[in-house]
Amino acid sequence: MHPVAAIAGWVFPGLGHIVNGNVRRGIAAMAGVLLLFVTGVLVGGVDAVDRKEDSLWFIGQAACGPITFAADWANTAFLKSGSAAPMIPLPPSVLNQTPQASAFKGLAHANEFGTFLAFLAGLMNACVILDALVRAPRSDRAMSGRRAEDVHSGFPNSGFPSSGPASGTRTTTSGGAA
Amino acid sequence: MNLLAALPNLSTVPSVLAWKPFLQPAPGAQHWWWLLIIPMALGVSLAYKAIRVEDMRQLPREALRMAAQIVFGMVGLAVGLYVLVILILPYLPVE
Repeated sequence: MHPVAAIAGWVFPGLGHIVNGNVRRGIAAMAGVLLLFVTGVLVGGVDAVDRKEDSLWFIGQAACGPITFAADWANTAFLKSGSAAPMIPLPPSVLNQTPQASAFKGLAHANEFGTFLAFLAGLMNACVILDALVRAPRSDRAMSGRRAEDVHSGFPNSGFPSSGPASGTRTTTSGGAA
Repeated sequence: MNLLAALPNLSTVPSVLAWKPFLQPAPGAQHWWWLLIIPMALGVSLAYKAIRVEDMRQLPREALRMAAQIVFGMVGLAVGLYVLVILILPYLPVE
């Protein structure tokens, strides 16, 4: 178990693997999670992340870490304050007699897909964090070494003549992937 | 049902020019929302395969394959549901 890697993975997607020495794996996971999150915020605006109005969605989105809280802060600071766009008065309700909403507030498809994609990014990052928690450090490098041994030992379909252990026998090294 | 109405059209061009990315929702999303399945499938498959493949050299191929499976699977579901709801259900007896 690598709790430091898990915490790093929450601080920024993929950072847990990078801290553990699995750099390429971390960068790939980072790219996948950020692609989802950035697309969500691009489509829905920062209103796609709303801690108060979409609190259940926010629980999943929060697995992306501080970038989610930064988006929620931007939503409050720029949209809900009225600094980015004028506020539009809404019909009064029982709970709020003078409700207002930003002119940039996301509606319909844009808001739904923005919220959903950011939520999906959080779920995928939760998987990445769990993997960083249990994956052996520098296991990618060990895997590359094992593959290289397979190739030079005449592993089937490798294209190399057998020069090591019996052909078809997979050699093992210490520190392999979990 | 007019399928052409679902395609992106030029009426959203002026609002795109005035769009403030990340602050304002993307304009005209009601016309092209279905295209979001592509970044969704790519993002999910890239993040998933990044932690599943043993050999990182296989990652691009595996991620693209999984993304294609997601896209074609959802297109297949859409076609199946279209056939069921639009073509078959209207012909079923009410009682």
